[in-house]
Amino acid sequence: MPENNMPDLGTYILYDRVVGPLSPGKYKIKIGQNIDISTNNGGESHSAESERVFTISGPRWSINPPDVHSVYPPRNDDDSPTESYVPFITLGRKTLPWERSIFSSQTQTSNDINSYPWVALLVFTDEELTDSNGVLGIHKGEDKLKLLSDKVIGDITYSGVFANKPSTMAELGIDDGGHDDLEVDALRIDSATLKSIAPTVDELRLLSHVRRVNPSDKENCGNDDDGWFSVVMSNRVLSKSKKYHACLVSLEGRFDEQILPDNVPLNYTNAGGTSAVTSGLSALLSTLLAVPNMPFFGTKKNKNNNSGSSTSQIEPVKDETSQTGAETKLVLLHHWSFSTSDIDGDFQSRMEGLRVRVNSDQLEGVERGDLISLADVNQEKYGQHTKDNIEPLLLGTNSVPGMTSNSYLRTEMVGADGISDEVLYRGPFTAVPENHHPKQDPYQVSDEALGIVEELGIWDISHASAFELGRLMALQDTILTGAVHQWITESKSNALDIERERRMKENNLDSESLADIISKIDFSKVARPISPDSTKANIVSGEK
Amino acid sequence: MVDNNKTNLHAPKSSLQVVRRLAKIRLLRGVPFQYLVPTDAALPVESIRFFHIDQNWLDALIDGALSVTMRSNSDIEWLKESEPGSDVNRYESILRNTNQFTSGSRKFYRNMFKHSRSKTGNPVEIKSGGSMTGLLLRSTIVRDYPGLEISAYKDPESSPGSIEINTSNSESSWQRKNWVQTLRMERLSPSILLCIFNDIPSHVRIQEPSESLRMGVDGRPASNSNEDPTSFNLKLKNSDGSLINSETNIRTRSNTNDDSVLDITGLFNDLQARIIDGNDITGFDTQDSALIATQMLQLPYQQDFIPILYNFVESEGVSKS
Repeated sequence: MPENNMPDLGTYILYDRVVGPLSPGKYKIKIGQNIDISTNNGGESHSAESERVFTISGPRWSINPPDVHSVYPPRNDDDSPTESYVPFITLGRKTLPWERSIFSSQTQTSNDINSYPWVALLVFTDEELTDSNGVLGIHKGEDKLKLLSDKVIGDITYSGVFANKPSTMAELGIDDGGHDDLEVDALRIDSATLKSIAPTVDELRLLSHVRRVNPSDKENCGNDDDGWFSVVMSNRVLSKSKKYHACLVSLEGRFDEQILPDNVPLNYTNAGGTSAVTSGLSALLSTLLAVPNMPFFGTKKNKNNNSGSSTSQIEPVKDETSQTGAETKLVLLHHWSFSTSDIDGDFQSRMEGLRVRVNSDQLEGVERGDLISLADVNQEKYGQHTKDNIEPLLLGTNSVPGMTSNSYLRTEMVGADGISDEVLYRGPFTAVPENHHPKQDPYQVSDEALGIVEELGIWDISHASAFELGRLMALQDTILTGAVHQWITESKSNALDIERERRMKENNLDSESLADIISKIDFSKVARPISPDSTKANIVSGEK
Repeated sequence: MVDNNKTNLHAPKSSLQVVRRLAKIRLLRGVPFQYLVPTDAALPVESIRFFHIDQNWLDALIDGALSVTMRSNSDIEWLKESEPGSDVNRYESILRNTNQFTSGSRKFYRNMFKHSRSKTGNPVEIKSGGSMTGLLLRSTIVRDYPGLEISAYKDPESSPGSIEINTSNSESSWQRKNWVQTLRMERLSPSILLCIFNDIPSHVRIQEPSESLRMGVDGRPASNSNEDPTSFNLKLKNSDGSLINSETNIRTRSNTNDDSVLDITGLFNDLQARIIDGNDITGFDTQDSALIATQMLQLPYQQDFIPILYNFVESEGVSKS
């Protein structure tokens, strides 16, 4: 590995987090110096002090677009894969998620507060974000919300992001009246919906990490200098055929508002829920660690944490703070939207879902000609020897209706006289290899390329069709036709030059004698066409 | 190898332009899809099909193109004559050079082989005039995964056999020396991808775009398994990212409409238990978010097809009239 833990090309290192030494705010630095001087006459002492004030700043109400390295799924993507990937945002600043704190100064905890990010990536469907008035809860551009004051958008008055949150405003130091009308991008969401989707505070800690790549690996790093990135993941897997909004929100100082869920109701899982290894000691440890392993804060204790244990259906926990119709507003640092594919599955499941045709009547549950997925080829449900009874993955075999084993398709051709004939056609792609027989002379008309199956008296129009198609393609290619004509002209011109030189040499002619000969030529004879049948082309000089 | 010197020696510059244009046609650029696959049933939705290429068909295509440029009998006679100093007529020369140009026309490959030559001292020869094969992939994969990587290989020691799915020969089979040149790889439509190879490959690898390093899970449990259908599977990895032969099951929250919000806490507890157990994932210590990220990294997936085009009898087609 290169120095300074730089990853090798094509590799990367993941870190839990990178926390800066100082959080944003105003700082005062005080420098003092004492000098003691000893001389023969005694000693002198001098001292001096100096103070400097400086500010450490960082993104708070928005993130500059250049600081967003990439997002997944891509913005405005129409076909994001479903049931496989989770959305995430990659930020160019490695410390950004940990530069501020979700907690207030009043939060009682012994835990490492700095290890918790102040941002979360929340993913909502269009429906979840649309309120009863049919208005989407994304406030950007002209529809930004104010921090405290009301704002009228359309016919609706929206209160500020921190309206009725005086303690939070005080905690953030924005209760001086100077920030009341500051407009920010905001997310407005039904509080209950937010709690059903947002991560718990402990999960928040697990969803942000730092990634370091080799900066010379441009594929991964783009134009970044140091190769450090922070990544914020969502906790939601995408479902098919939905429009989603990914919202990177600020949770700075908002822990005490209890806008995040304390504990979450989980779907049923049976005793064999984990598919491997979780047995014996491992399972026991899993159960033991389920509650105490994760830290919790202040007096807010997880009363009903079911994670990792095997339980039957758990009723959703009633939350005192979630009232029907109550809304939560959050500062929106970055937002993008995308839509998901109408098909489930990741790359692997889609590859395994490619289909092959059954070529046997022996398999259970399927008939010859049915299509089954590659993943099912070795499945016992179709019998022991499925793979021996599927067609090879070749284009155009006799398992395709109307096709022969060597890729001929029986079809009809309508002639110029309007009469249709049964013919055979085969394209350039065949299931069987075909020997190449280069010709010495080209076909001049398509009829020369016709083949016939003598036993059946059926025409094979494959090469004739190719010939006609080639004609059509060349007619559209003026560069090709121009180049051929130029080639022919140059060749013929060169041939004439060579012939003229040869004759002049044979007859000992020079340019002067040649000019004399030319002056005596009867051009009416020269222009007469050299044709065996001069009646068809009777062109003479001066007459057409 | 493309014998450009020979081409330039016997023919004017315009001949190279002709060969260049005909090489495009020979690679079937601009050929309507119905001519390539005459019936939809031959390439069903969500399928992959391999094929040989009938070069006689390609010759007929070139003949048709040339016929348009021949304006008179003297032009046709000209085509049948040879260039001064050449021992084959122009038609044969055009076909031969077009065929050779086809295999050497891609700047990418030219540069790649140049590099290979200078690095190893052993130039890699581009074969031409031999068999051409290819594949068609008709799937939403083509639409949803731009940058799909498809590479073909020919193992001289591979023995013909019935088609195998998703198995792999020894890694030596996938070495660079066995690589088969890709002459063309292009989307014919949003969901159809065409590849043309310059030989008969014995095995082909299709890989998810390597730049698509994403975070996620490994799908829902199979419908016939005993696992919670609302959960997701996750293949487990060591700290170096290597997959181990084990997976876990991530539960989802019950208070959403689509069972899509993951129980990250439960996942973390399960992973920690496995680390303490010591018999499962290795290389981790006290990591938290990096542990989750490592497990949820989705490495590019590759699907191998072995063998694909051997063990089929040759066909002579039908007789010409």
